[in-house]
Amino acid sequence: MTLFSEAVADGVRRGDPDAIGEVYVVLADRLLGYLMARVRNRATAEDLVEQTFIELIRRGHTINGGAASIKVWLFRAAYFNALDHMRKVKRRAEDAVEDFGHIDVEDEQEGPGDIAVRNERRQVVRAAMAHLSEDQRAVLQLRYVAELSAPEVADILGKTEGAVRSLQHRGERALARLLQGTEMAQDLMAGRDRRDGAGRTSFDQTEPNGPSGTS
Amino acid sequence: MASTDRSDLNPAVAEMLDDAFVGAVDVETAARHLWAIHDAARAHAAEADREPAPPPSLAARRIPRAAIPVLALVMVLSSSGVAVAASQGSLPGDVLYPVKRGTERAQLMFARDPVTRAELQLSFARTRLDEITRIAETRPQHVESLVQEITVTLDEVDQAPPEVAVQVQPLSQSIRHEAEVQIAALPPEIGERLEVATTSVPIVGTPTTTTVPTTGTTASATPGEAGTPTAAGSEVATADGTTAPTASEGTATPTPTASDGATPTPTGSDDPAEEATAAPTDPDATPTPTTGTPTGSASPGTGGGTASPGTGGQGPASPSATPTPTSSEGDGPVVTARPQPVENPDDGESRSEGEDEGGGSPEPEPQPGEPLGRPGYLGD
Repeated sequence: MTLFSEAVADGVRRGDPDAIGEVYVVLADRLLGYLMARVRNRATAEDLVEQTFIELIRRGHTINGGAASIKVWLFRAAYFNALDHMRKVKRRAEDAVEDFGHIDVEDEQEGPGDIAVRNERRQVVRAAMAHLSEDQRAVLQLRYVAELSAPEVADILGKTEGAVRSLQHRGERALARLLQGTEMAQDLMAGRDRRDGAGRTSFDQTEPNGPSGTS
Repeated sequence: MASTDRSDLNPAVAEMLDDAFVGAVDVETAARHLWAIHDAARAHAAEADREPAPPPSLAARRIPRAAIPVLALVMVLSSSGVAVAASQGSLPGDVLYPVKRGTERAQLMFARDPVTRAELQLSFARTRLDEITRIAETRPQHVESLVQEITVTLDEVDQAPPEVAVQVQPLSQSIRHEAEVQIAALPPEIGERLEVATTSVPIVGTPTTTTVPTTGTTASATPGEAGTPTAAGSEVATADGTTAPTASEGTATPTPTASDGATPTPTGSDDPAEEATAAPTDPDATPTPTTGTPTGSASPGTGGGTASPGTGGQGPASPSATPTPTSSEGDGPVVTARPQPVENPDDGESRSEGEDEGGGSPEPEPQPGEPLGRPGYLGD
């Protein structure tokens, strides 16, 4: 995945709206996805995307480095913006109900059956994510949804790279456990096998990791 | 790029999570976001533009000035000065008038080129002139200071180096002429007060005349107002030389001319000016009269100053019940005009009275009045 050119990165550091617009085009999808994963509400995530990009305008000049640094900066800002938001929401006890229903934008070209299947699958995955520990979830979101490297994630979360890798590993295993029995479990196992060479899985479906996940 | 390194990611998890969370931002949302981004960027750029303002304020700190000009300066530089814009039409006595003046001062502060600077000063003088016409009826109490400012500005411009002076001379002369005409058109009450104002200004200058070119210029400028600006200057000089025994006195004489300009007002016509010029010219024409008339004027001035500054200025006023302003002016001028009463205050007084009676001939009024006025004020 190529991000954007050095010229664009330069424009971002200068606060050039066109350059930031280009960054938006490249990264907005993933940033929105990441924020939806974190706050579980589409409208809130959209607001946070806007807020994060506006911060990029104001503070872009503080970024040292090129496109990768800008991306890390964006997701770090998004991470903390989401954290702030969740704290506020928790204080107001407004987020009692998860809002997954608002996440999806239906693809008109899919048939109703496909949509139903897809949505079902997404709901399961999201629910499974919600049952991971806070740290595992944060690492998986940053590593997979934001597509950041382990060192970058370690930097954002203030952990060591080893800790991040370990959390990622355990998070993946926990996901596999949670999704065991679904059609996705096979893929997950296959992926893990390919990487770890070990297919050790716990079949305990009622792993009670979750509540911490639901805010 | 680090973000493309997926070797330590589980592709199945990646696909699953992508599907669950990552989708295209819909067009509407993207448009909204991009709009907001653009807006914020513009606002941010505007803020950034405003930040460079500190240099000017630093400069202002070196030259300590009142807070208002500095503020105005910052606003001017940021080009977002709503108050500055609003102040441009303000008049003396308005809340925003100081802002307007501050803006002008700020402009001057940044005009490095002497010609530009002189032109700016002249354009401000013209603004003052406009202000005078606009407030003459409603706020006559401000007219005096405005006239003084015009005089001072014109003097300053005249003091500029010759190469600059040459370039701006047409402008300054036209302003001088306009000032003369406008002041002449002012209501008599104001004219009276103006006389005081103008005379008092010279007073300060008079002693320093030689040292401070400004005052000198002022003097010459004033004569110009009375008659022909340039010509008047030269004439005055000659007149002074001839008229005034002492060089300093001679220089002082011009100031009176300023008063002349003011005095004409009551009369409402250029006549006084012409007359005034005529009077000086006479000495020039006939150098001989020097001692006779000029000296007389000079001495009368002193004499009048000591003896009848009050009378010269105010006394005449009362007698001149009919031609109030003219009379007062006439008194002053009379004295000067007929300088003969050289050292005898009585003479000066008598002359002035005679002139007043005569109908306050405008000619003599200016010069004599001024000299007299000065001494008197000084004495006061």
